[in-house]
Amino acid sequence: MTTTLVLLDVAAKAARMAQQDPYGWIMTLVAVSVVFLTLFLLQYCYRFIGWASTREEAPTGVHSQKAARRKDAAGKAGAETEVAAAIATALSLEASGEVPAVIGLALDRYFSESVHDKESYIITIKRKY
Amino acid sequence: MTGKQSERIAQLVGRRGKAALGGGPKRIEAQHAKGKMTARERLAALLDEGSFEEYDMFMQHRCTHFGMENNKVDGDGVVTGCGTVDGRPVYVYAQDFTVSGGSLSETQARKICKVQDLAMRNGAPCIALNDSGGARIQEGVCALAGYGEIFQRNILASGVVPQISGIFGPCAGGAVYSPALTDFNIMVQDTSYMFLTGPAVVKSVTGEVVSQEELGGAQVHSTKSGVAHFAAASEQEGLDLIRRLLSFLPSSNREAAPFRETADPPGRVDDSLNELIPDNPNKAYDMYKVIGSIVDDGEFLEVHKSWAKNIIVGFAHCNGRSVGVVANQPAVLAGVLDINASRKAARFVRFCDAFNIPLVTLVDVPGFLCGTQQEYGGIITNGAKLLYAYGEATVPKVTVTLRKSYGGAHIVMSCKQLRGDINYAWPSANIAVMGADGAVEILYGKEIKAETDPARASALRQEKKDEYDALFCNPYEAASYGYIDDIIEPRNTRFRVCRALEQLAGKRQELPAKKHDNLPL
Repeated sequence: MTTTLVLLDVAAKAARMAQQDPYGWIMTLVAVSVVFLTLFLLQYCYRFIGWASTREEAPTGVHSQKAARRKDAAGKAGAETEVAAAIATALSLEASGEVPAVIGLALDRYFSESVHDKESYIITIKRKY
Repeated sequence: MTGKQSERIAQLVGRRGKAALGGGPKRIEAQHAKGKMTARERLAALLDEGSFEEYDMFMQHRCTHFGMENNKVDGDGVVTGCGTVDGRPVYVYAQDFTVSGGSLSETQARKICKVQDLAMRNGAPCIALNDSGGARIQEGVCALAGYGEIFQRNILASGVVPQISGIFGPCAGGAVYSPALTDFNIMVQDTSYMFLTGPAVVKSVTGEVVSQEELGGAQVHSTKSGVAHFAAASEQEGLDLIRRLLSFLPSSNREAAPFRETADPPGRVDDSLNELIPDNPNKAYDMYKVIGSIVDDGEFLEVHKSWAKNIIVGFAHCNGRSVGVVANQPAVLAGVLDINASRKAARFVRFCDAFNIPLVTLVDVPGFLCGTQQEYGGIITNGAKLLYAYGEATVPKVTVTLRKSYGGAHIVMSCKQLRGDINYAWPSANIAVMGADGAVEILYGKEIKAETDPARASALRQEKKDEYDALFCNPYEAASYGYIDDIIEPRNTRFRVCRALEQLAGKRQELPAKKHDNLPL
């Protein structure tokens, strides 16, 4: 009963609107379009700001990105070595002596020469005496 | 117990006590004054406490010449019997210098032969503690016959049971051949000597004046002749050495090598091995570091430590298994193979093969030593001994090539074609006919000589060397043909060797039927 009354009411309002403003729907369509167009343009605007703030570290273009990846991989080992050296220096400054130097050297070697041939280190053969 | 029986028992105890005194208190004192133990003291130090059972304590000689019928001593100058070392039976005889200078009589020989026969029959090691002035002259040819009987048994027992000789005093004349026929000789510095003819005879025949120590002391035989496998600083050290040596050996050729529990994990890695090989191929390094890293707890009993040091041989354990290690020593003569090194290693390899002890070979060999001295000395025949020994051996053979492995020496050092079971190489290995220097000289010598400009000649030589290095001086060439089973990271060597030995534990390999081989002696 209530639903029927509401539907009758909406239909009556629509008929009145069509009578008073026959081109009003165009206005509605333009307003909604402006909102969505603004949102669409805004997302490009934000992307541009993001690119502009990081472009020095990651240049665009396929070849440049590959080069960047290579540079990144090479730099990683160097950075690790630098970390090791920094730790060694810090240790040396803190307590001068042989121990910190040895720790520093071990860390440096750990970071710079950590490539090893993998083994299981487990013998699964049951022993025959 | 009746009175008569008590008397008999008292007589037994009395005679046993008298026999135990050997030549008597004065002579025992004289023996001690020389810094030497008596035969029974040596046996007590060698064997497990309370394990010794003496045989033939009351045997006496039968000689009647030169008044010998009035000079009879129970036991006749040798103590024989059976005891245990670490709970395993061993047959022993110890010559008693306090009785007629330990001289060998017909009776003494019979006593010795009895324990040799027992050792053979029961599959237990036979240990001789020598301290004798030689054959008992009063017995004439009977004493010589006694030596012959002993030698014959040494020969028959060879490869059947381990035979070890401890030289704890004089051992001269024909007597030296028994130790020479046994597997290992241990001499004591300053108190023992071995020679065929003493200084007096040497002087009368050749005019050469030489002392006993210079002619046949422990130092001489352990460093120059190679007759002695071990030189001990004292008798106690020598006896301890025999006990230690036995711990690596099976009781007979019918048994597997003994196993020893270890807390050292087979998967232990040693990063220092990755940095051991110098970049310069002409620079030496110490092979002992590699051996110590591979074997259990770094424990290694080296044989012939001071003789032919360019090759290292000895016993160790890998994951509890007894193994024989043969390794070139780059720190001495660049690890080259010469006459003595070949003989030393060949004898050791044959011993290990006879007694089921797997062989681990570490190779860094630039080749055979060249020159007239070596050629005249028979490097060809002697080198062939090692070749023969490896080729004949049927025990598990694991080989690791560390750096150089050139030419004929590559083949000799347990290569794949000599039935090497598992052959590994480090990435630093160079397996080739020869090193780059020699090869470039042969292949491009004319071209290099033709260059008038020294700088250009040098550059050309270097260019050709680099070319040769890239092509042959690496392990991948050999690996590409399957001559190397795998290339391994140095730090993983212990793990790979231990695992290989476990893989090969069930190995069975037969030689073609033959009366005996004819190795190049």
